[in-house]
Amino acid sequence: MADSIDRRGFLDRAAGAWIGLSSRTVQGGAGSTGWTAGSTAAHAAVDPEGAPILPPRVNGGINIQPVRRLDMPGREEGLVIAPELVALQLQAVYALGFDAIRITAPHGDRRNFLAAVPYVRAARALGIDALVVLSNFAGFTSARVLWDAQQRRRHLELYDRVFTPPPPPAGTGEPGLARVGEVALQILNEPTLFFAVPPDVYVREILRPSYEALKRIHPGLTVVSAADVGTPEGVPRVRAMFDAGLEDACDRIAYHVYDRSLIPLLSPSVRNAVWITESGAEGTSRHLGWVRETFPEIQARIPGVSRIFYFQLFDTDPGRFRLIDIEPEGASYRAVVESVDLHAHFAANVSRAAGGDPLLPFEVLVPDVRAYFPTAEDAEAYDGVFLG
Amino acid sequence: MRRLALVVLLLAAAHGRAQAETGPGDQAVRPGAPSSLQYPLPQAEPEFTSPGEPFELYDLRYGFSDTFSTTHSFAARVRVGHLGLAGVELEGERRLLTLETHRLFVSTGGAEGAYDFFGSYRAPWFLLSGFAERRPGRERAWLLGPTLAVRVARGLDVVGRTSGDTGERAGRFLRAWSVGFLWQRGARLELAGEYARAWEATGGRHENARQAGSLGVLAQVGVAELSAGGSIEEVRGLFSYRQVEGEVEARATVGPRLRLDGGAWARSEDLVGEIAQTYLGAVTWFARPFRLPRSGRAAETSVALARHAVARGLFERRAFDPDQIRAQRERLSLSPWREELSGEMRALYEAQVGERAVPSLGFEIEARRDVLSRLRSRTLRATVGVAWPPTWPWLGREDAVPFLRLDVERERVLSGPGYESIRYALGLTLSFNREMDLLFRWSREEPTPLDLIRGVGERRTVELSYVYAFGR
Repeated sequence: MADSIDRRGFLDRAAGAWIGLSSRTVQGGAGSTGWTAGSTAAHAAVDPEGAPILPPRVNGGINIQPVRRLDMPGREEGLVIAPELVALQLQAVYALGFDAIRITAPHGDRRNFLAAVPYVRAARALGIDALVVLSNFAGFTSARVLWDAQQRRRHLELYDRVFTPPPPPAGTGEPGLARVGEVALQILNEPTLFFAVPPDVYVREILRPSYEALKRIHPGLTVVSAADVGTPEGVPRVRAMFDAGLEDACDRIAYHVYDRSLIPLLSPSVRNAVWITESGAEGTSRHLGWVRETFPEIQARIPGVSRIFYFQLFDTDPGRFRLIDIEPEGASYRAVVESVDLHAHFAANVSRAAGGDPLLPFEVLVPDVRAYFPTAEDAEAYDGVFLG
Repeated sequence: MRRLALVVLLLAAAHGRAQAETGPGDQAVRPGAPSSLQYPLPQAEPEFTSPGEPFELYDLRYGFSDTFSTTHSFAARVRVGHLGLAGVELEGERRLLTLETHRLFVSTGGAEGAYDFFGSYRAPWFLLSGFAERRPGRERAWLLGPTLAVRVARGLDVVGRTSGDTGERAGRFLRAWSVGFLWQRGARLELAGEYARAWEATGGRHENARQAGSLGVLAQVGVAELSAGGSIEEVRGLFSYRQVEGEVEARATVGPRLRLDGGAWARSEDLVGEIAQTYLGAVTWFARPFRLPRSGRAAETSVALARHAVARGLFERRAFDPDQIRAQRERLSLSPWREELSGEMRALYEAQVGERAVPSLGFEIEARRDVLSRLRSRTLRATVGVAWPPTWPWLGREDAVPFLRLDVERERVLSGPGYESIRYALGLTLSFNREMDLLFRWSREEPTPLDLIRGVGERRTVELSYVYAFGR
């Protein structure tokens, strides 16, 4: 699973990475990150007669990364979160009609933990659900603190305190935004691959105690299990997780699907609601086919699936999984559509569902994404747990 | 301290007995006989049918192991006249008592609320055995397992087993049954097979129903001992799948003093492909001519001894492993036919001594891969032996006996995201004579990711043990 390991290292390499050319661009700037007119179907043909509507949420969920800057100084002082980057990614999620984001808020990594905050809060303010992954991009801190009964509750309380309070709905007064997005927590990501935790140990010693602790802290919170790697190699481990009591240790069972041959191997196991928390194909040319053919196959053959999160919106590896690229432009950034066909497919789905009605622009609802940035209380809460 | 004092006392007693029964002048009595061999510490030739006066010490072991805490272990076994053997074992919190006659074996043990009982009876044409284990905890459930082996023809046993669980979580009492066979033809061919069914309670909401068939063969062909086996297992449960497992292993002598070993084991699954493999290769150079266990006079004698025991109404199989041979000899020495069989018992012992393995230099490499745990490991082992009387490893000596043996091991384990953990181990075995060893073991093991997650740091283990085994 070298691919998965590469994906994990994304944030470490994000800063300063060379970003390749692409065919279509979307502009963004601090506090104003509108897509270039005509660049996506979601922004096409505003009907002057009709009232603008929210983009219909027709494309499922998508994985995003808590990107906070793309430059990498030799030594980083303080916490820098470039609002343009947050806005660019969230604008894409919003405009392309995704109903949920999945984002990692890593334990023991203060900057990236806090960088996940504006993504989650702004998305939820827009009515988009957020699945927050308690995991690491490097090291074993997440698994360590979730295994340790002395530390577990404090850390879970931190996630509950920072990520679960609902933000006020964005663009108060705009139609259709009475609802804020829900939040769910996922306990680790691919634990055998990234943490060398065997599947039965994961269920018995990490997931179940974390689930029980979270239910005491916040009974209504949705707890999602970690998925294993989305290839046939992961099947014996998924099986071992079920044998260890997976169904009674979470609210949702997660799978990853990166190989179509995996789908029939997973289907008999469903007795609970299943979320596919990662699915995608490597190679830009395969993206559209994957979504058009594999996603319906997953829905048809794994009947318990209620969400599929596409992998993924943006990373620094050209030509592999990402939907868009982000390039520096002057003092700001711009989004560049890399997976053109898939992007158009998602946009067309939104446009079709909107039935020609005009769509509310993102910047109307989120004029300044900094409103969702982590507060001093968030930082204190984090420091209180990690620095004592 | 009292335990330590007792151990020292018993050690001294065992040592004193050996010294008293064998003086320097007793050595080299018969050329080629065990008594002609020189050991660092003189050893009396064992009298297998001696009744003891009234006790004879058969086993004495003491050891301690220290990693994060220290565990002591102690075991002793004595012969009580011709009545039987009585033993006691202590290890940490565990206690075990054993009693054995030529037909009966019973044991009872326990630790921290868990108890286990085992018993077996050897009738002329069947062997009936059974275990009962009581699990600790509030449930206080029992796991029960009777086994019946019936001798249906010369060298052919049919074996049936079953196990049941009285626990409520098990859902049903009958948990497993199997029927199989073991066929031994002479010393050079052995065939075993089994068909088994099991209903496995999982930690989840489901049960896995397993059925498996296995077949294995072991054959001595010329200078090589070859073994092969395979099994198919089908599992029905929340997931249904079939696993196929196969293994081949070969040991061969190349010339009188060189042995080569090689083996491979793999398991695969119908829809997933290979899920685990192990490969092994080894080369060993001996200080004196070496024989594989089924190819020499000891093997022929063991076959003859088992045949004669069976003819006298004893349920015995052909034994080729040193521990199995010793256990068989102890049973036969308690039987009413001990005097009739004593000549063959002694002949087998002398053949074993005559074919003793005295390794001088050995290298081994083992590679493992497991998809389930996502572990890959490579282990390198080296052995250096110094024979008694000491000589250079390349110089063979017919009268060499094992004296010092150094085992070194390095294991490299890759897990998770390419995380590397190295384990080093070192073992030193000092053989005073054929019956008495002092063993020292040391290991240092870097933590794996799972250790780090569990808050466990580097493991350093030191073990020291003393072993006395009469008639080994």
